[in-house]
Amino acid sequence: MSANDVDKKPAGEHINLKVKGQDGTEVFFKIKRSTQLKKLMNAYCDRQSVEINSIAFLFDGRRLRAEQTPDELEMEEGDEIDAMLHQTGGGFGF
Amino acid sequence: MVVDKTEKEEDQIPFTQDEKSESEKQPAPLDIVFIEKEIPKHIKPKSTRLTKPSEALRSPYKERVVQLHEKKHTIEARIADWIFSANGDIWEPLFKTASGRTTRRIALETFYPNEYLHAGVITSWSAVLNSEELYRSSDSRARLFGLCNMMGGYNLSKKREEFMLENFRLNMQSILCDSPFSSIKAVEMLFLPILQDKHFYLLIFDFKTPAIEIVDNMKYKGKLKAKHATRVRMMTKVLLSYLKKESPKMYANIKDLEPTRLELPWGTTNNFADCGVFAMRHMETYHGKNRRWDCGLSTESKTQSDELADLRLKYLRKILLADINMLRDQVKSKVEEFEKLDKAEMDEMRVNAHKRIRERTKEALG
Repeated sequence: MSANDVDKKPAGEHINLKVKGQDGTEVFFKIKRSTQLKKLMNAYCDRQSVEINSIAFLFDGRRLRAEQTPDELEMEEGDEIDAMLHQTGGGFGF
Repeated sequence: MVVDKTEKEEDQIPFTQDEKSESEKQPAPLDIVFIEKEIPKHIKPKSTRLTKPSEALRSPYKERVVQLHEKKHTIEARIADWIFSANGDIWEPLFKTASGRTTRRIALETFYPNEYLHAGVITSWSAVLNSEELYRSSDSRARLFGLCNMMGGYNLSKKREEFMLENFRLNMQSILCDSPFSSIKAVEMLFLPILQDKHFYLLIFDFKTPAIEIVDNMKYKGKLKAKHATRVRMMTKVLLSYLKKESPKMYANIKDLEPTRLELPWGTTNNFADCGVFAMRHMETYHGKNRRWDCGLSTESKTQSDELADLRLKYLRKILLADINMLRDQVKSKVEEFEKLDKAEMDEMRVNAHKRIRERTKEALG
C-alpha cells in the first residue's frame, strides 16, 4: 500500500516503512533505501521476541528476501510489509 | 477428570530466575531506526455496548460446537477439494477479519490429514471462536481466545519484560476487537495457544473458578522441561503485570496460583501430527472445571485418527465460511471456479495433492 501521493516526499536517503503483524499492530521503521531488508527484519523480530525464521515478510503478495533493498523493490514512502507467523506444529511436545 | 498438579522441581523455577537467553537486545544499527509501534484506530476497543442476541439465537439453540460423526456437508468436501488441490498463489489471503487478521492459502493447505498444522490456522480459529462468544448461552463462561504466541516466542526473559508486556497489551486490544467484550474485565476464561518446539498446547486462565491450566494432548508424566516451564512462567508473569493495571480484582484472584496440567482421557502418546487439531478442539469445547468436559474424541486409536481427519475438514469449512471472514463470498466463487476446470486436470491435482502440499509448505517455510 502506498502513502497518499500528495504526502509523498522527494526520494531521500531514508524511507519510512510500516510492518503489520498478525495481531494487526503496526511497527514503523525508518530505513536507508540502500540497506538490505534483513536489518529491518531483525529489528522487527527482536522487538517482537520472535525468531527471524518463524516470520514470513510479504510485500505486494511476494515473500521478501533478506538481501533485497527498498531501492531494488522500488518501495515508496509509507509502504506496508506484512509479517506473518510462519510455523507449523504437529506434536513433538514436552 | 483428574487434575495433575505440576509440582515438580523443574516447574517451579522462581520468577526471578530466567532461562538463559541467546541474545539480548542489541543496539539499533544506524541505517535503521525504530519509530513507533501502534494499533490502528479502527481496532481500538469498543466504546459502546453490543446488543445481545435474543435467547432463541444463542446456544443451545444455536450450535456452536462442530459435531463429530455428523454426516459430511457437501460444501465441506468441495472446499477441501479446492484447498487440497494445492493450486494457486500460496500467499493469497482467504480469511480476513475486520481487524485485519489474515490467513493465507498456505496455512489452510496444512489442514490436509496428518500434516503439521500452520500457526495461522490457530490464529484464525481464535478469531472465529471470539466472534461466536456473542452467541454463548447465559450460563456459559465468557471466554476469550488469544493469538498463537501472542507475547512472542523467543528470547523471553526478564530483561525483555517491557517489550513482552507491550506486545501482550496491543494483542489483547486486537483480540478484544473481534470479540463481544469491551475489556478484559468481562472475560471469565482466557485461552492462550502456544506453539513451541513444533508443538501446540494451551495455557488457560480461569478467573471465575481461579485456576491456571495447561491443556496438552500429549501424555507425559511428571516434570516439564525447563524451557517449557519458562514459557508458562513468563506468560503468567506478563499476564499478571497486565491485569495488575487493568483489573486488580482479577490479578488478586490468580496471582498466587501454580499451573496445573489436565489429564485427558483422549490424550495421546504416539500421535505426532495432530496437536494443532487437538488444541483447536480443546479451545472449542473446554468451559472450565465446573462443567463436565468431554471433547467427543475417542481414546487413542484408529477411530480417533479418523475423527481428527474428519475434524480437519470440518474446521477448514468453518473458518472459511465464518461470518467474520470478509472473504467468504470470494471463497465460494473460487470453489465454483475451480469446479469448472477440466475433470482430467482436477483428477491429476487430486492424485499429487499431498506431495505438492508438502513441497509448497517446505518451499514457503524456506
